[in-house]
Amino acid sequence: MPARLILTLTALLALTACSYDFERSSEILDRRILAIQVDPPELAGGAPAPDSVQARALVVDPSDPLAVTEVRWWSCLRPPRAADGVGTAENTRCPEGEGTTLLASSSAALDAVSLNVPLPPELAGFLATGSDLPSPQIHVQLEIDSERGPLVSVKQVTVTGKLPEGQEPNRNPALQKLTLDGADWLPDAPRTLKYGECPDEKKKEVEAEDGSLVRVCEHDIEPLFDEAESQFYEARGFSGEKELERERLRFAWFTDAGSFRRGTTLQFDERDPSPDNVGPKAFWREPPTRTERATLWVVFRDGRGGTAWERREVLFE
Amino acid sequence: MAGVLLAASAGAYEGAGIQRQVTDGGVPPPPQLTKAPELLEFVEAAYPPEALARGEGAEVAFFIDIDETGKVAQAEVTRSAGPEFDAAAHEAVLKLRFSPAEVDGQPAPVRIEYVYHFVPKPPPEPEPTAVVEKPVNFKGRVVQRGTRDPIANASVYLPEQGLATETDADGRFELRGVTPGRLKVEISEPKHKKFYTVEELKEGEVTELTAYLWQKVEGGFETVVTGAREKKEVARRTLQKQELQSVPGTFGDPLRVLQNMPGMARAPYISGALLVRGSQPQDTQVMIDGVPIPLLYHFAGGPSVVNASFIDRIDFYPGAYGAKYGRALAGIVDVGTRPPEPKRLHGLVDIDLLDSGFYLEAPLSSEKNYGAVAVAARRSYIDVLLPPILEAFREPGAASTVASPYYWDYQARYDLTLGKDRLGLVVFGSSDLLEISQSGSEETQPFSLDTSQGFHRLRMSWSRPTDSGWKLSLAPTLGFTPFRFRIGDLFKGSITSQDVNLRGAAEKELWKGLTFETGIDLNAAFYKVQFEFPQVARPGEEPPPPQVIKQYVDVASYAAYAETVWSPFEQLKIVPGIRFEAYDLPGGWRPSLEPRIAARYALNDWLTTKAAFGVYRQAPQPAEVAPRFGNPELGLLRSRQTAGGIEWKLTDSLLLDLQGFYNWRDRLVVSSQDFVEREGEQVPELYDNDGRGRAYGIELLLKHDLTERFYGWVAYTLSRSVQFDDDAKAYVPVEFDQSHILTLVGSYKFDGGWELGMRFRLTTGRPETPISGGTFNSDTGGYFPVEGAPGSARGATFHQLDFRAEKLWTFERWKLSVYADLQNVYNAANPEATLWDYRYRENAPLRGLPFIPTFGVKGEF
Repeated sequence: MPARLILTLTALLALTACSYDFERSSEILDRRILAIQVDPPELAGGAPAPDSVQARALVVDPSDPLAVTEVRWWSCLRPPRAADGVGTAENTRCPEGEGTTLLASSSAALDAVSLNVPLPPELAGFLATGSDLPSPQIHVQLEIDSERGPLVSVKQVTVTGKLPEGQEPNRNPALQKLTLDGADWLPDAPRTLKYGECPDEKKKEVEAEDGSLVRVCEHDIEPLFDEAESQFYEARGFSGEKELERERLRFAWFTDAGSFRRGTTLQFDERDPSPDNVGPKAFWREPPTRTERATLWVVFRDGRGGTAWERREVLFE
Repeated sequence: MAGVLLAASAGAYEGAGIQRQVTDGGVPPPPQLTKAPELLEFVEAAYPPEALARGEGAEVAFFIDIDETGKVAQAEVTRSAGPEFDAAAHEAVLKLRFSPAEVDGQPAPVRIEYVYHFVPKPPPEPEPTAVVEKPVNFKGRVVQRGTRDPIANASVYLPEQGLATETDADGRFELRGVTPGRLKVEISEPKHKKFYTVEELKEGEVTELTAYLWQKVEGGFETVVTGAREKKEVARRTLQKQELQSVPGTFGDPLRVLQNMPGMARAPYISGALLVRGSQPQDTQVMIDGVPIPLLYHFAGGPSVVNASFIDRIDFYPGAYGAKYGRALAGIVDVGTRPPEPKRLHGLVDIDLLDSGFYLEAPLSSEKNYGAVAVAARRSYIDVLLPPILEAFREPGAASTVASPYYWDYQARYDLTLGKDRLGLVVFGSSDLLEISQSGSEETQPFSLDTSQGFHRLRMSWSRPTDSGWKLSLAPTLGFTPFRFRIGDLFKGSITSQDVNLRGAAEKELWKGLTFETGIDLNAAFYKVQFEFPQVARPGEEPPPPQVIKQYVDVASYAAYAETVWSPFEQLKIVPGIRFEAYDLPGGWRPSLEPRIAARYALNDWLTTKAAFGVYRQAPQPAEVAPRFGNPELGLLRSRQTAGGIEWKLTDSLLLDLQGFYNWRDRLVVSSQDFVEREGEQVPELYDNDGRGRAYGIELLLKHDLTERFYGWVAYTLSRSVQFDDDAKAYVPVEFDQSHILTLVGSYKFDGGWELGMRFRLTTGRPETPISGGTFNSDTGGYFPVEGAPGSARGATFHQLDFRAEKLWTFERWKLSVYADLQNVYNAANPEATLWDYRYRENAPLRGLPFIPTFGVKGEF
């Protein structure tokens, strides 16, 4: 009898104690696509449909940030699927063959990967009717060459035939500013820090390449935004029916030097009882050995397709 | 010379023509020996002269088959004392006359073990007249050490005075005219060690002796002599109490023992899921005394919700079962509770680090027929132990967590026989509670979670054989199943159901070779679903009141069945049956007609062939069919099952059961990506009945019956279970498909109170889908895997060896046992899954359970 419970606890401990030394998503070690933004992120019926949407990608490469590489863009129209939605792990790649259109294949610098994505003609017709039938969705797919093979990323352009009354089409989110250790941190003004100089209570242990533990400074980074800009929308909710929802920003943090205590943070929501609901502030730790500079990125998403990002730099004295 | 009738036998006797008495509303109870055969006419064997001259004694043991009239049909020597003794005893035994044994109140053939004692005649007895006239001055009782079970027919012998007698059924004896002084006393009985003592007998006084005899095999496995349990199904695998408590690696958990039967896939880690023939766990129905239960284990993977002490046997039907049962696409597990001991107080206390439990059984009166009662209960105290452990491991600055998980369960049973009427009451239930409270920290906000889930059932039963030959039974059950949760102060919810079950049956042998049974089986659950959660507040507006959702979901099914056992000649048995079931689901009535048939043909005494076919249906899960959360238009799931094979009796205690099966499954519930129109609006369909699959394979069971010292089996399954994948447009292996499943189980009782057991398992790894990389989803910020053909790869082969050792100490009035269960003794890694990094480039195996030694202590009186 006791044995079974001991077994249960042992198993749980064994499972939770598993420590696989996988690479952390927030640490940029090689070329990666961190985000794709489409503007506008949602096309709604009842209004004249644009001819195209603007897509741009955040592609980073710590070894050569301005490298020029081969870039290919595709798009496809996917039929409406009831369980579709942001947050699923479903394979949303465009199918190979018919229905998938190669939009562009060219060379581009990593900091200028963008495309004007034309809308399929049949979509314009659908939008014009303002129908409340389930809508097909546009998927944009980006492929970029890298040393370890092509990197592929997908992005959905949400299509809504008819928005609920009073609801506006989704917009991409925006930050007012970022602060580093409480002071404004501007996009084009790298912050200079004295490596390793901070009060003792701000120092944290990190693991160096040789496995030793090193105490480094930890800095807090806070994204500031206008909460009134968060949009309201209707979606199928917990009740199984359409409920009024409000956007909640999710922040994904990246760096090419140092590390984050948490790679993702969330806008505070008083309705969320989970322990992690402590706001969007992130904590960045300096690298275990001094580097000249560090680049940090934050990608923020509204949870229903809206995406934007910011880039900042730190210089070490 | 004396014959000794033993109250134990090597196993159930499978006679022909004995019908079960249906006592619990359609669920076949184990036939019970209601009257043991009594020796009416003893025949003295011719004592071999040479042995008699030497004063040499002997014991010859037999299995003897007694027919319905009490006549000895045949006798088989099981323990020889040499050709002369054997022949003399055999000749005498064949002439013995017994009173007919009765099974469930009906005369029935039985097999018993009988020992013929050759005891050299003691010195000439004193004058009979003198003895008769003298009063009883030495009496006593002979009982088994540890259990205090009376020992009947034990020989009590005073060698110095040449006086001898035998104990009665209650173990009592009396001797008259014993000469006062110091007495040497010898007590012997074949299953027990010889007992010697010296007693002081005083003039004019009556000396009383209680003798506690050691079993020859200390704590040997015990099986009760029962009448035949008619074999009608192609596969009904019954595990008895002793087999359910000591299989290595199962920690004495009866339901987990079932996982070692053929047709059962291995469940990962400590999951006790019953994965029958590649099906989902919810496709197998688990019942206690015929009543379905909603939970099998505390906290999903903990101990099973029924105290092992309360279980008498488990019947497992892996498929193609009869018309009595339904509502399960795959198999049936029926746990039979233990009838209370009708004669004396008996109990068991199980105390350990994490939970404590007890079991008590007793008659309500030793004088009158007020029936007997059994009670068991158990409670864990992890809620006391866990908080200090969590605090000890808390890192400075981290949130402090108070977790208070605990569970309890209870069972009670009352049995009363009034003339021909048998009445019963069984109450059982279980509750799991978890309270977690976490303080805030630099990185977290305060958090609290409370959940509780459980179930409670009250089952009454009545049965009676009528004068016209019908056997009637009725068993109504009432139940309550609560589940509640609260997260923080804002999220609350509950799903509770009131449950009703009614079973009734009537059975009669219409004429020789044709038995008819019909019955009803009603089951209803009335769910009340309630959730409360906060709504979104618009800026500048008062926070709206919490949204409250209340929903009532009723799921009921009403079944009637009929089944006939037709035996046109002795070797052949054909069992056609039909079950009509009407399901009342939120979307309306769903009728189901389910024909079934099974046949058995005995080619000879040791080889039987068998085959079966049946149609089975099952309702969708409540969440799948609930309005709002599911699709109320869903229909019933269906399987069509066939099975066939042979049973080969290799020896009296060794049976080989080989069978093949092929199951078609269709109308399975799968998730849907479609939209449907409801009340003029396009809404997600969520689920549909488009799933289809099949399972087929061969199962082999080589089983050694439970004997005094040993039980064990070899189970092997070769099978394939697939389901159609709409994306891949092909049949792909289901999650629990395992091609090869080999299990070896054995346990042996040594002298000195030692029992050693082992279990070895070897199974194919579960299906996996190969991953060749990841694609970044810019909407979620995560990667999804680039997958190959679903299920086209396999996880690592699983192999594990478990040992169990138990030492039993037997005291006069109680027993104490200590056991060690060593799980995965050679620490095989046994990866259960593959872990991937965030972008599906690197992977690592997720290892299975490591070597885990566990210990337990149990006291029984």
